[in-house]
Amino acid sequence: MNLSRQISENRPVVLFAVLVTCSLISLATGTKPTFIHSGIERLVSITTYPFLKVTDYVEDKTDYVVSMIFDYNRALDNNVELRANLVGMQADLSQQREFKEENKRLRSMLNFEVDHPEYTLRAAQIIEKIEGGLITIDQGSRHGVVVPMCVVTKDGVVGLVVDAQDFTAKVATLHHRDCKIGAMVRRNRIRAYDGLVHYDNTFRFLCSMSYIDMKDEVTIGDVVVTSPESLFPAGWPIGQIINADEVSTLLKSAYVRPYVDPYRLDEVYILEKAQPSVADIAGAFTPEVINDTSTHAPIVPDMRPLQEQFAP
Amino acid sequence: MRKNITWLILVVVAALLQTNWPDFLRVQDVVPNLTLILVVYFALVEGEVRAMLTGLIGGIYQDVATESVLGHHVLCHVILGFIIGRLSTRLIADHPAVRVGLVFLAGFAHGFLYTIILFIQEPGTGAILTIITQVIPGSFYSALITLPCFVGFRVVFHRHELNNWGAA
Repeated sequence: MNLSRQISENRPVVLFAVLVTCSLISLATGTKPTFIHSGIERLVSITTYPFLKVTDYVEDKTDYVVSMIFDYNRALDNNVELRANLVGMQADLSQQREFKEENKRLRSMLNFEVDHPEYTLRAAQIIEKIEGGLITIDQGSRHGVVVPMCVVTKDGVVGLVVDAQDFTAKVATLHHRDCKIGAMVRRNRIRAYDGLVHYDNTFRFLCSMSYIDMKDEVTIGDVVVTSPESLFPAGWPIGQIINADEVSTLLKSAYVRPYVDPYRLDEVYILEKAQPSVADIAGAFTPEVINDTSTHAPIVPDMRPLQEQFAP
Repeated sequence: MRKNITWLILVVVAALLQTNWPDFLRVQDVVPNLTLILVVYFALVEGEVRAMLTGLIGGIYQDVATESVLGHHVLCHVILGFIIGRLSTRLIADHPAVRVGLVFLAGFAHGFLYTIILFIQEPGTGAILTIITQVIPGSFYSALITLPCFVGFRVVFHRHELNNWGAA
C-alpha cells in the first residue's frame, strides 16, 4: 500500500526510470525484439504507405512548381542548346542522306563501268549548270578531255564537249541549240534526212528529228538511239518519241523527249574510247570447230561411169 | 479520450514526417526534429509524463522506421521530456524566446545524446563531424519552426487557452 502510494506520488520519476531502464536494456543488448519489431514495423508500414504516397505526390508537384520558377532560365538555356543541337543534327541528317544518295549513284556508275568494259569512261562531276543547256564539268584538257568528246550517263546521251579548259570543260547538252547528234529509231533504224536529233527550234518540244520521209513509220513511244554515223557508239539511248507532225506532204518531224535531264544530273561519264569487242567486230556468229571427221552416213555406191571415174 | 486519440495521431504524424521529411524542405540534408518539438511542447504545457509518453511513441516509431536499435530515439526523447518537464515549472516558458531557446538546446542535447550513443555502438562513426554538420544546424532549423509549430499544437489541443497563451 505504501509502495503503491509512493509510485502514485512519484509517477513521473517511476515512468522515467522504467522507460530509461527499458531503453538502456534494449540498447545494451542491441537486439531488436522480433515480435515487437515486426508488429510495429507492420503497423508503421501500413500507416506509412498512404502517407508516403501523399508526400511523394506533394513532393513531385512542389518540385515541379519550384523548378518552374527557379529553373526557368536554365530550362531556357537548355531549350536554346537543344534547338542548336537539333539544327546541327538535322544538317548532319541531310548531309548523311546526301551521302547516301551519292553513294547510290556512284555505286550504280561503278556497276555500269564494270558491266561495259568495252568503253573507257572517265567520271566527271558537274560543277555548274548554265542556262541554255550548257554544263561545266570538273575535268579538262589536263585530264585528257578534248573537243568533241561524248558525254553520257548510263541512262543515255548527255551531249558533247564543246570547250575544254585546263581543269574544266563545257558540255553542250541536247537542250543546247548547237548540239546535234546522229540518231535513228531503234525499232526500224529510220533516220531523218539529215540523220540528226537536235534542239527544237520551234520551242514546242526539247528535241526533234526533222525531215523524216512521210512513208517512214514513226510512232509515239519509239526509242531513239545514236546511229553508227554519230560520234557516239551506236545504239546508245537518246530519248523517246512523244509526238510526230507532218511538216509538208513529203516530210514529217518527230519530237523526242531525252532520257537524261542535264539539270538533274550530278555526275556524268566522258567517253574516252569505245573499243568494240571482238565478238562485235566478228559478228554474233562464232563458227563451231568440228574436229570429229568421222561420219556415220551409209556408204553410197559410186554410180559414175567408168570413163569419168578413171579419166586422167 | 478524444484528446488522447488526437495526441496519438499527432505524435505518429510527426514521427512520420520526421522519418519521411520531404526533400524540398531539406536544407543541405538538415531536417528539423518535429518529434522533439512535440516533446518540448507537451513538457512545457502538460508536464513530463505526457512529454515522456510522446517521446516513447515517437521514439519507437522513429526507431522502427529508421531500423535502429529499439530504444535509441526513445531514450533521448524520454530523458529530454523528463528534464524539460521538470524545468518547465521553474522557467518563464510563456515567452517565445524562451521556447525557441529551449527547443534549440533540447535539439542540441538530443543530437548530442543520440550521436554519443551511436558512437558507443559504432565507434567508427565520426561523432564530432556529425554534431557540427547535422546536430547544430538541425537544432537551429527546429528552433526556427518552433513558434509556428507551437501555435499549431495549441490550436489542436488547447484552443480554449489560445487567447491567453497568444497574449504572452
